[in-house]
Amino acid sequence: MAASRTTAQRAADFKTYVVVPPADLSSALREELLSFRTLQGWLSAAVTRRDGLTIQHTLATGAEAASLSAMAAALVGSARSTGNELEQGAFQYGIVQYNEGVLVVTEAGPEAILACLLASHVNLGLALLKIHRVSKSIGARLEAV
Amino acid sequence: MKHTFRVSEAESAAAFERVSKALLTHDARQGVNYWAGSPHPTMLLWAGRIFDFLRVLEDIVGYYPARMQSYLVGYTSGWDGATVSASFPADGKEDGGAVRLLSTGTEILAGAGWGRGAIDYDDGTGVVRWAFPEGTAIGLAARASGLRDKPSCPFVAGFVAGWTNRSLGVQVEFQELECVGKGDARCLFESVPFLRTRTEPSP
Repeated sequence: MAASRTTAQRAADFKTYVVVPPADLSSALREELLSFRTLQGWLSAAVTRRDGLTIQHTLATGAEAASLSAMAAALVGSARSTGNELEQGAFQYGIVQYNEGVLVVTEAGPEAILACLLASHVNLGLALLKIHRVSKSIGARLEAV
Repeated sequence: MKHTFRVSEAESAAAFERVSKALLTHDARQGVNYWAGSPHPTMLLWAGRIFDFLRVLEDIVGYYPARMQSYLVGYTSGWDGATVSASFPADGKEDGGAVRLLSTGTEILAGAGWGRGAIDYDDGTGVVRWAFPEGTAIGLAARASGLRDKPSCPFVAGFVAGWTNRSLGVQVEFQELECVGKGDARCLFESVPFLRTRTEPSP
């Protein structure tokens, strides 16, 4: 608990920083994220800029979204670096299994990352199918704006 | 209306006397410095070490996340620095003191050894540019360790963003358009409402 308070506080400390994403970007993505509601075991999701700045999210607070976004960008960044070092080609998606849940991060077009929190009992195959579809759609929407 | 604030070499020398000497106090018991009454401990740090933090982070998490983490730290520094400077009695009250507070950013940076620069602010368009004709200290340190193809000063970009936003009461971010660490003649930071980055710079 102490760790999560620290993380939330850190995000809150930077609240004066957060640049408000343009309304057309946010609204283009909201519908896509809410489409996850039909996926059993889905908990929340965020679309973040490649540097970790939240563009849109479904979490309870902006501070929680800021933490998830920053960590998702770092995860994707380190996975890309690892892929480069090991000469394994481009990054596609990452799955992190925890005792209490699952985090999936994937690229969503050239300028964004999609992060999804899922329950530990989620049907992962079904979830990945849905996440892949939504990430493609998010990428297309961002390109159109 | 367009505002321009420049620091001459003579003003830079005077700012050094004020910012790095007169406003700096030393707590001999702690062996720690404090600046302008701020409770935050203050110390001399080689600019190259800030660049090293960026390079290490870039190798681990990639350019963009590393840039943002460095930017956020710089942002807090700029925001807090402007907050402390807002209490200085010399600051004027026209425009609520906002433009005057923005202008003091160049004096503080030059006086603290970050680089002598100039601010151009167009209050019609809202665009703010911070330029350092000789480069920032971090940019110069980056250049000394070898040219690279990515900008070197997200820390300074964050600093000027924090200072600008705190001064003007706006929410903008800054991108590095020119960097001496890349071989450009100067360092240039320009405000944008929301940065959209589409390509990852090569490692």
